[in-house]
Amino acid sequence: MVEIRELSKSYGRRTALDKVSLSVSQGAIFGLVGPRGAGKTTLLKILATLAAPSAGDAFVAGLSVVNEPLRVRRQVGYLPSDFGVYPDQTCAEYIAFFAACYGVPPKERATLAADLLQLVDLYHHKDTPANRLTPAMRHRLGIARVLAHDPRVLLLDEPLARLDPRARVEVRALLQELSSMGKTVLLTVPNLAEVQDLCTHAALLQAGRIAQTGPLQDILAATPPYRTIAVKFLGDVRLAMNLIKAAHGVVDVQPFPPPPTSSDAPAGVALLKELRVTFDGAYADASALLRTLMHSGVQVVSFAED
Amino acid sequence: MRAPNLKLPNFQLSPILVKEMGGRMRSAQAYTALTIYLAVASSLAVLIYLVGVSGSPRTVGGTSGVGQVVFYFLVGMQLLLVIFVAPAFAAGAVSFERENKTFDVLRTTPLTPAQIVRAKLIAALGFTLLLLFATLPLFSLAFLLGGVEPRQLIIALCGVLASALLYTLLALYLSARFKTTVGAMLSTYAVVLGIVVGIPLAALIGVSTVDRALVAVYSPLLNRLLNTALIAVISLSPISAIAASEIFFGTSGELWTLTPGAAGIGLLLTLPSPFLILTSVYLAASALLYALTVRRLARIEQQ
Repeated sequence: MVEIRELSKSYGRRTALDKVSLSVSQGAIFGLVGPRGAGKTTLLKILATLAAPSAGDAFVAGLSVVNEPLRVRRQVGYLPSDFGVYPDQTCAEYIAFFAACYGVPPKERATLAADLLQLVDLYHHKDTPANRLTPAMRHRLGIARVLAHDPRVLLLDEPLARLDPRARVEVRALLQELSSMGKTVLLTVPNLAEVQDLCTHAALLQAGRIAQTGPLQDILAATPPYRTIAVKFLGDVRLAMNLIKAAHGVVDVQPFPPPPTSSDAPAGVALLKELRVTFDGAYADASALLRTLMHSGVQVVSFAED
Repeated sequence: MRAPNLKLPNFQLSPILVKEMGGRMRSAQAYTALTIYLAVASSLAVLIYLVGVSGSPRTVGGTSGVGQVVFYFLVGMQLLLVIFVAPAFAAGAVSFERENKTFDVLRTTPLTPAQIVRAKLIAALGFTLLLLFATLPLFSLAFLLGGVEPRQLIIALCGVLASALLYTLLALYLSARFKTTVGAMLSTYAVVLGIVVGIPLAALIGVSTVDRALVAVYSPLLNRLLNTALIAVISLSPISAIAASEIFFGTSGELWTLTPGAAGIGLLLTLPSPFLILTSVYLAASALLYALTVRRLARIEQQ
């Protein structure tokens, strides 16, 4: 259903994707796993025809994203990790608007919106302004929106992020239901632990390259699932990053959110910094990392698995 | 869940146009703006009429001066609307989508950049046109009082409509270029005021400076060429173009052309009337801005 061939994408000198090749079969729930900056979102954007590849090509239902982007758009439904809604539309109008954008006839739009809102358990909010929904409900509305034109492939960027535990369970169940309906689902997640009971296949992306791909069980057998550790501290970010990078079991470390500029901080107030550590070591390794940080003068405020 | 029928009918209104127009007309702001604009325009027109009529002789044609004042006042109101209000309707058209994080989702639909730009343009221009045409019945007051010819309305309408189109497209283009609506709005007003006030002002200063410099070598031909250049340049501003066209029409009765210094000696340069220059230049610039806006949206897609 999705065929990616030697796909590369560069932004100036930075390479976001480097000759990525993948194949996703129909009905699969395929997880693109990797830390921030690995190229997951870029890959989804190329498949959604929002970005043009620098080299290579990708095919959705046999259609090239390079040569037939408008036809590809009818085959895919893309849900960005962070998206807005129109403040002057109700939930039903929001779905009906996107159905209209895809050419669904006017007579069918109201029924379609009702069906989709029912599917994502938002029917009782059909007349609620879309911008008044909670983030979790808005996310479900987004999933309903991507289904408005009955696409064959769903591209979901971090669909489980920012959801409360109950909403996560609901979205997982919804994705499995969609997969059973024959939809192919490509989703991005920061670590394998999040999708081990959801995905059928996965690819591990690191620095724009595929480190490993195949059925999820094979990947799990070969690779211990990554965990993300959030480290909040006071002090020098560069020192903390160097110490973390050198520790055993660390796959990647990224500032979260990006460090603020000095002008943002009131004079004399120490800023709390946060690093997200992609970790595949044992608990003893995590403990050793924490000790190293504290003994090296980094004032750790919290150290927890995300 | 039923699979929707994706066959496109032969004719369908753009969903963006329907959404934008529906959203705008659904809000109380639209009706408030329309009511305030009409109330101000009609009360001031009636006030001018009452003040003017009380001091005019009660003879046939005695109120023609009042009719002209009412006419020019209404044209001025329309120009103010086009200069200050029309860009505001379009300046957020694309930048707001970006700020609101709805643009990426919109771009994944099969709508082409040209379809998006067209729908946004019609939606923004539609409301401006509604405001403009709502004041047309007030012009009957001017015609009732006399002193104004229907042909003068052609001059005013051409200038106002061409300006509405250009300034809306300018706002739309800058909205596609700028990341924030505030940035798009401020830059649009800067450019529009530059055109409306800056160009005629610069032309007048330039011509008087050159005039003074050439006083020693005065030649009628040079003087006429300068005047022709001045008329061509001031034709780029709707206020000066409409005013000049109305004045030339009033003095010579010529609607379509004018000949600067026709009474003088030597080479006579006949120009199209300033409102015609304005309309044709603005239409050409509008076509260019439309193409640039579409290209800009298409370029974003390649980033």
